[in-house]
Amino acid sequence: MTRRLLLLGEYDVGKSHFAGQLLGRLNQEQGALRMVGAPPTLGPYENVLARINSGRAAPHTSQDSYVESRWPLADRSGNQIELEWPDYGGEQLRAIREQRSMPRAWRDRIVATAGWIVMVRIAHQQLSDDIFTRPLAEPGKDRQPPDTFAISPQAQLVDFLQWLMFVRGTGTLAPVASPPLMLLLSCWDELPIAEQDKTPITVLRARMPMVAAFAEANWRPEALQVFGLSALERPLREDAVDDEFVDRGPEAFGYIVLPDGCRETDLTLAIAAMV
Amino acid sequence: MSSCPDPKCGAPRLKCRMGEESPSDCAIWAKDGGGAPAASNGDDAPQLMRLPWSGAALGTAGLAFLTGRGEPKLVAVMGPHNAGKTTLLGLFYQQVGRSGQLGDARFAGSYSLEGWEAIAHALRWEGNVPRFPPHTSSGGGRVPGLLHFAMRDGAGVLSDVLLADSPGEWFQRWAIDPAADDAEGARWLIERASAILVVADCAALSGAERGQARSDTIQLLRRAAAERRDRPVALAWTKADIEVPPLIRDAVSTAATTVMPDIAMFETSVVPFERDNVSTLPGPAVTRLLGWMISPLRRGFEVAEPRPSGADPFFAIGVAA
Repeated sequence: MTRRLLLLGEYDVGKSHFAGQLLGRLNQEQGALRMVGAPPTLGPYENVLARINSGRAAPHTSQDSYVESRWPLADRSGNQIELEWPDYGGEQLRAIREQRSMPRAWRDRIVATAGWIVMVRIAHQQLSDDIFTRPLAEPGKDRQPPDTFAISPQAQLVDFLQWLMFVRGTGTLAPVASPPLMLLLSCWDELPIAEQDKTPITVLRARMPMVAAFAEANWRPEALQVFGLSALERPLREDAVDDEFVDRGPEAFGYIVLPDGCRETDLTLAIAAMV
Repeated sequence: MSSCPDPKCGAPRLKCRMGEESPSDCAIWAKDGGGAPAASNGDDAPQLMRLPWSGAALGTAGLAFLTGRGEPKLVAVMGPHNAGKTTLLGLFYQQVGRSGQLGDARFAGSYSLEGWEAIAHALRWEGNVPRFPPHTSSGGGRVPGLLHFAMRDGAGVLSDVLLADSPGEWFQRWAIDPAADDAEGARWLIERASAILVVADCAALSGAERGQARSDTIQLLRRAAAERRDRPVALAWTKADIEVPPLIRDAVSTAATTVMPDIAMFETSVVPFERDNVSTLPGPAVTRLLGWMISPLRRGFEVAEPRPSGADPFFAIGVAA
């Protein structure tokens, strides 16, 4: 039976580069997973592949471009997986979050999938200083509240995971065994060097402690995985060519960080771990 | 069908409790022959499912959703106007959000994240010097906004905590006359609370109006003692960086312990403070109070665990060696 995995991530978490690099690895058939048959559409990824093959960063996907793609994959034992990339641009997730309502197609998708992979651009997440970390000599006397405030990214992600659980009806009394959850910490190479040697869960606990606690409190240990990902291994620019990247080829770049902190160049392992 | 088979749901007169836009989309409605679960209304409009919590503070409707999974612990935070109750709640959230943990318990979710963020963001250095959160308006409300968080302890047990962000005016009135019309919100809270946290404002107790503040605080403590019905009570000295004259501090402490010998006492502040030559940071201070808040309630009795006394192995199943 084919397991459907859902890959989710809001705008600008690095989905395009991961998709392009993953596609290259899958087509090479050297890793844990390979493509079986052709996906219904590779349209949006062709442009990404062309860009990274020429040593340049892919342009940002328009938030409005809604492309849904399903990739038929198989592991070496012949287990079939369907990797679903809904909402490539990330616009629908944003709309769901802002409007606090979910279209039926999304609900059906969440109910039907056998695992969730949620991408988080971890270097962009950091706790801001508060009165605990940077004590005040005296609090601000201005009692007027600011006109607006932004909900912290970690609160947003916790709320989103709660919706997934609610829609799926996982229950909350006992930790979740199914569907398993992977938090894929993307753009790992953007982290400060000292943090890059840490395990992904350690980095998540430091940068998004509420998310780490929420996931660890609500998923059984065997059903929760936290991986790091650097799809390109180095920053590429849209307007300049990285010659080394061109000469060695995109397949020579990119790695995932396993839960124990070890790096592997087989990007398909991030998906294979959910099988 | 005229009503939903779920007794907690008011559909179709009210919104579906499960968040469905139309009752015909709801499995509970359909189960009892209410109609086909899929779209049968013939239109092709995308069917949106509303999430049953808004993220803002919970009202009584939100409570129904939450209480389905167990009995939440409702903590009534009581104190006069401007005593720092909302700031205290902001400190709780910041502390949980910063560590994700309290002792061996992990943060396990919240259905009022937006409500928490609305008060806690004021305590962060985000382009501004942190400030106190805005006052809680008394408005015309009869039920306080409830802020929620869940913790899962080391044994895997989930507990829900609700904190009432209620205006100080409610308690000032209630302390004097609990039957007063404008004390209805305070009555609602005290009738349902599982634990009571009384706030003593060090700034007021050391200021020009300290005599009145002392009297108000003692009155509130005595009222809390009269209404507590054996529920746990704590006294939190907020703004603890401000020195309270010893006579006033003793008067309040003595009044508290006289009427409630088991009362727990804590001190909190948004700045480091010193007491008896011991310096305390805001984080550890608020963590101690949070620890009290999530500690299990005393039931007042031990749950009997019947054990077989015979040697019949059939009855021994499930009995620990």
